[in-house]
Amino acid sequence: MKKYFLEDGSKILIDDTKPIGSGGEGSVFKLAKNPNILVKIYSERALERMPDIEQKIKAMVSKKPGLLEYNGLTIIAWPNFVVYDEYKRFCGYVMRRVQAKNQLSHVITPGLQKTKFPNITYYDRVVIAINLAKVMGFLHQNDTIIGDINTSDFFVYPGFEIGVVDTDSFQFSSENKLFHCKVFTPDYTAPEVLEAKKKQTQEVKRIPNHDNYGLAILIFQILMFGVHPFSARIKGILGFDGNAINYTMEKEIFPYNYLSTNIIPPKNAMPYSFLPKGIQELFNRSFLKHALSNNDRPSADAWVKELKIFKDSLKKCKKDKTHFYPNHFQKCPICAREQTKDYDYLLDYFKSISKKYITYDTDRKPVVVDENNVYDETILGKIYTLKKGKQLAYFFDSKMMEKYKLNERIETIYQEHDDRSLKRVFIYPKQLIKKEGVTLGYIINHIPHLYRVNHLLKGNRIGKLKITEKAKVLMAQKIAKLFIKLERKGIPVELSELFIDQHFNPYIPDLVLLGTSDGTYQPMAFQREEYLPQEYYAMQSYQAYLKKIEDEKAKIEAEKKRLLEEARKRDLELIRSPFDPKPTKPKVVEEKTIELKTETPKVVFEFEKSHAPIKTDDIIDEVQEIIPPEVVFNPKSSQVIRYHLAVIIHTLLQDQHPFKATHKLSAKPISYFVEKNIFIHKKMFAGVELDEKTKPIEIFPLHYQKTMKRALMIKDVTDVRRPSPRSWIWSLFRLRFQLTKCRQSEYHDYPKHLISCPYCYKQDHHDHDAMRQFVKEHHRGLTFRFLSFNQIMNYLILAGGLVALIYVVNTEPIQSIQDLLNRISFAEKLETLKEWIRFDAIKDALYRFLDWLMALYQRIFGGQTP
Amino acid sequence: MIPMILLGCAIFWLVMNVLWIVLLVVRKKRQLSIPKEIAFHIKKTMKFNVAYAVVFAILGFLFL
Repeated sequence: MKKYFLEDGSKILIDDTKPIGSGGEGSVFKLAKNPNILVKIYSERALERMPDIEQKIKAMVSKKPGLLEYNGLTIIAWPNFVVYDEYKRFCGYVMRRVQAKNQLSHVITPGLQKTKFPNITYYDRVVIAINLAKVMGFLHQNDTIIGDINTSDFFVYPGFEIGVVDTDSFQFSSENKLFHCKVFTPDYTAPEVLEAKKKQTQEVKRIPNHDNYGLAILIFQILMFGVHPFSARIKGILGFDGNAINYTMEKEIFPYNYLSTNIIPPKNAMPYSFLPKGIQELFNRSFLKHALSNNDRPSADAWVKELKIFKDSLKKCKKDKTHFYPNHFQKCPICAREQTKDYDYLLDYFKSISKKYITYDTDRKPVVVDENNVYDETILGKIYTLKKGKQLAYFFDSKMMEKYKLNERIETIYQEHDDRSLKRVFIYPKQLIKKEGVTLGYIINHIPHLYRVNHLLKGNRIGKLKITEKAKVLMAQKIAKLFIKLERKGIPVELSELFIDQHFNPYIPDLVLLGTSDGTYQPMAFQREEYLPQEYYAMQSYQAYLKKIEDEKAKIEAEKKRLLEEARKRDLELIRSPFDPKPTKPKVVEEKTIELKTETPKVVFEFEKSHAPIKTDDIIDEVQEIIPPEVVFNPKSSQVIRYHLAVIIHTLLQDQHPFKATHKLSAKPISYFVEKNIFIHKKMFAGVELDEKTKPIEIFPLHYQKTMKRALMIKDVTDVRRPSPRSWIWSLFRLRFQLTKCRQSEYHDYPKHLISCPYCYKQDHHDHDAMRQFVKEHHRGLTFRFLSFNQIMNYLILAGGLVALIYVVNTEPIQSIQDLLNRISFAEKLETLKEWIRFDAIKDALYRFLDWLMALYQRIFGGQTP
Repeated sequence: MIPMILLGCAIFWLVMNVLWIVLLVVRKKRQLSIPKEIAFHIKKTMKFNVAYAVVFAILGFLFL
């Protein structure tokens, strides 16, 4: 037992043999008489380290928040009295004990939950989350910020009330002073606080928005079975590995709402679709980049409100009464999770069991749309499935609808029943979906196995099937065929708008891209940077030139006016009466400008010069007074549509945009190369390197190379002549039959002019120069043709011989063949051969050559040869 | 006629082989790079050429 004193001098006895808990700051003991009252005694070191703790505790004691107890349960273990030792020195404080045994981590951590809190249902989890948000909201109302949010500072009572401990670390403001929270737990601390902590030595002033971040993480963990919201799998060399929290937290990448497929939630996570949209929205707002969020994370009150709605909407499982699940599911998702915790499986499975039916009016009969089942997404909207039937509901994106007046456009197109020349490509509407008289979308027929071409490029797959190079050529050929019609109609289509079915037929689900025949609505053109041709930049430079001329004209005009004004003033001066008072000139205050010159001392220093002439950059424009040609850019012109086609074909067959490259090792925008009319595939410009992903054009046959070059590089901007879709069809048709299968990979088809598969080589060598060298070396040249000639001749002779043999055996009797063989004896045959080959003549020639050599020897060295 | 054709074929193959030998020698001397696949096929074809030349030469001799 140890004696301590309160401020009024009254004595308290504490049982110092068994501390309830002890840490870096000190220890917590029970009061000897009442175990529900605790005393925290700071250690000497802690008191030295925290000089203002006495002041803080005193201020906290004097300003208690209203709610410390609830139905006899301690909710907040707030300091009640200051404790002194026998020398009247501050040493701690008295507080009420939070009687709950379970920490919040016992709810969150699945392993602990099974042992410590075994009968907890999902409904209870939501209640705990609500209570947690309520307590935090209450503290925020009382100008108190928790600061150091973590799972061990919150306790859960058996009735799911929440108790908060470790209150002396809270950020607390008294009337005249702010007491900072000096500690933090990285996994629950807002990124801006961590950033500020790194930069500043002073303490960071916490605001409720910082607490709201930690609160959102805790709620996420409670609702998502313990998984941290930033725990993620990051795609590495060996596939997805590691549960990276640090990386995602630092970069503020929320893996559940992250577009890239390189960072995905961990394997044991619950899919995000498990939560209703309202809750998802709050999480998205909580974990958005703090720079963008403008201190706008959902408050504790907002969480309480939304979680209450969530709690009321929970459904009870029919099979297991302890299962509660959100009402947008048809079947119990928790049953599925009990069978497997595989995130990837559950993600797909939840799609099949989640349904939310909403009835919409149409111009015929109402339809019921399953809003939870997004069939696909296009550039202008989303496609949902219907509750009944195989038709689909296409809904416009609200922003796009507003911007491009899509509802009015579709109404006009829908009325034009005659113009259906493109109905095999564009999916025509069956009915218009309306809500309060406004068209929101339309009903279309379901086309099975429709895939986005953009997706295909990611993994070279359509659905589960991996596609070959030859299939890509076929696809490009069909797209080129489609472009004949598009060119006629003046519709510039981009790759992201294209879909294909399993037979590689292209489809465009966005019917609104079409214009109307009466010209009220022109076909839509988005004019994205990737699809802007050289003409656009030429037009821009011409417009800049015109503006420059206009500016110069305006300058000249202003100068003329000024001179006239001066002349007029001079004239007035001359005709002015001498009695008139002289006009006083306004005093001009001379402004002295001080030139700050830095004189550099002259030092005799020179770099060693190379003998090699310094090459000037070919790309850098020479300053020349060239009048840019007058160019009018029309995004719906046939030449622009042909450019679109070339870009699409290039992206499809060569895996990358045709102008994606680097110059002098620095990545440049696409416009940089288009504007300068650089064909990046040929080494015509120094320092231009292809993107790593791009396939070099040298792999493809010459006719393809020529067509691509004509399409991407123009000779005269005023007279652009790009290859038509028909010439592309012809070129791709030829290419299709010039491809041969690789012996190693069934997905590789390479042009026959190469003797070995370049794609197999590319797997090991990513350098484009090595690839070009490979293509050069493996080109079918004279040697290859000669070899082929040799092999073909061999086969022909053997085949001919065989046919002759069969003929002779079938037509001639054996006797006659025997006669032919034995016509002359062996010795005579040898003689004939000798005569034929003329061994004597060869022998004579050899002797004569030997004699000639000997004579030559004698002539050079003289004397007799041995 | 028959022995002439057969022996002619044998001579054709021998000539072809001489050409291939010249090519391989030149390749080594001039250090020209011929892909491995092609070099392999050349050597294989040369072996066949020799075999055919021998067979056809014997046949030609027998039909003399």
